[in-house]
Amino acid sequence: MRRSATDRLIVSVLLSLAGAVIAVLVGMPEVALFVAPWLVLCALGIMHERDPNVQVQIAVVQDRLMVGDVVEVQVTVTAESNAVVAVAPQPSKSFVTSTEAIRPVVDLVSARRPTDITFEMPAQEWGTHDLGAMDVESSHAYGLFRSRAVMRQRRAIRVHPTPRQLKELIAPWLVRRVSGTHRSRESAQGIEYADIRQFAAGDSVRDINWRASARTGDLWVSQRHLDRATDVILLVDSFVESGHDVRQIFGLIVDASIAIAESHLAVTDRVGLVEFGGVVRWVSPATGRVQLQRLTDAILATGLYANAADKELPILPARALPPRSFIIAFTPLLDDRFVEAIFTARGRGHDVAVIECVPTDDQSVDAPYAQSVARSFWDAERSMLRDRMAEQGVAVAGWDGDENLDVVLGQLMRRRHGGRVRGRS
Amino acid sequence: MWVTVLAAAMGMGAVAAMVATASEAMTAVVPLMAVAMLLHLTFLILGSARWVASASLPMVGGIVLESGFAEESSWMRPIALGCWWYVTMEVSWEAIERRRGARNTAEATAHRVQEVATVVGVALLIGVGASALASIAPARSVALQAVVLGGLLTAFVAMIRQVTAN
Repeated sequence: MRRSATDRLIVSVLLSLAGAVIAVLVGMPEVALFVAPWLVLCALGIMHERDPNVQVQIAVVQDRLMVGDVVEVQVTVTAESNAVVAVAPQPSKSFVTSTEAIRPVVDLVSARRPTDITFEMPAQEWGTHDLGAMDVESSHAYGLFRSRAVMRQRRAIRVHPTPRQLKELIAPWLVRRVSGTHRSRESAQGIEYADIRQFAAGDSVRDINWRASARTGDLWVSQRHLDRATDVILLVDSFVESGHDVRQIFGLIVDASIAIAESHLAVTDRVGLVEFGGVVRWVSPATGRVQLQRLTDAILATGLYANAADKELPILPARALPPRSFIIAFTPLLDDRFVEAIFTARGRGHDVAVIECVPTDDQSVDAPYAQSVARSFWDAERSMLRDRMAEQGVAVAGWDGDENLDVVLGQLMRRRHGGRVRGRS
Repeated sequence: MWVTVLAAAMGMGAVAAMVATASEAMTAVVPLMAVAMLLHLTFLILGSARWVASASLPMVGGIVLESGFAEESSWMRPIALGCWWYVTMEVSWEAIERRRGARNTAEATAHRVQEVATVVGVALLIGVGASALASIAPARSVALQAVVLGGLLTAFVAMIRQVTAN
């Protein structure tokens, strides 16, 4: 810890010296008596001067919580001598909390027993944050000196976004040969009605469609779609694009991707993740609650790095991007490398859908003419991009965060209806 | 907030006590005390821990003026005013510190109060002792002044050596 003199020491030394010198030189003992408390303060402070050598132990009560939950940080302070200690948390910049929560606490730390200080900080934004830094300032005896240091112990917490319950699922075109809840295009033993055909040897009596048979006089059997599971790959765009609120855009991506992962995992689909940006990382597809935890951790830890390097999907191994998997891309469609990756995936035979995460744009009515013209060009360019995607069989639906995500999924499903993609309605 | 109000009230009280106990002929004390009060209130409101103590200079000036003109030397008056002013400064510093947003526990406040009380207690003891000794002390001489000044300088040198050793 770095020791320094306080204002109290400077003031008391100056006043003591001034008073004593005036008293002695001019022969006025009254002046010396007036500054006597400052002389006593100096004497007592210097006599008892000793660095209390304050140490802290930081503990976080729960390391996983939701946005809006309160995280409790316990600080145990020990000292070699009695000292008044001010402790203030210094969370990482990404951790947003109320200013009230990070106000310093000033407490007396006794040499005999440690003092516990608890900070309750509401987590206001999702992400992985470090709460293990404390600004510690100890005041020595009589407050003439102080020691100060920022003590760090890594205490990471994960703040999950508020969960969204989805009613809709985007039905994939391609499915795995594993039972699940998605309707297969093949007609076989399933639940959902597909078609009827004439009875043939070997057909089950239970499949006979009695109403059609009675009407035609021949035996007809009902055919049903198979119920299959699928591999869902969440393709997350983490390219940084200047001129946009990256944190807000990525907040939408995180919100949507976690909600969709949860809903697909709930129906026994295997869900994986590919973070495609400055850094390329992936989580291989799997099922279950543990996988949801794995995906959430990976999404929350996603870093946004500006990177000018060319990134291509073929660098990914097959276990990260299995054949016939259903790719749901979450992107603001701002980076050409990511758009190219979507086309590449589609070209490789994947079923691809895009959720375009773009926050609400408050475009002013009184915007200058040049600005509104530029905006029109920008909108036209993006519209062309969406049309080009639709031609390639990639459906796009936009989400601004205000709209219900189910509505967006409904739009995507309508555009993907019947195995071909329609343009924006 | 109430600590700031208390500090301001104590400052005004110290200034009023200084003026009230000054001799009637000593009119120069009043403007000096007005300056002291102005400095104290200004820097207390601005929140400058270093400059709020600058109000001590006109206070010392007032004591010097009063001592030079007073017919009878009273030692209890400067010691009482000195202690009052010291407590005012401590309360002012505490008020400025609290306005920065720190949350003080009762134990921390009690510890500080105890330290201030110790300083005031020792200062009062010294004052009373000095006052008692003065009644039996010989007349001031250059030799006595030199001895006292030498003692003070030695004490400060010892103090600085201890600080640097720590």
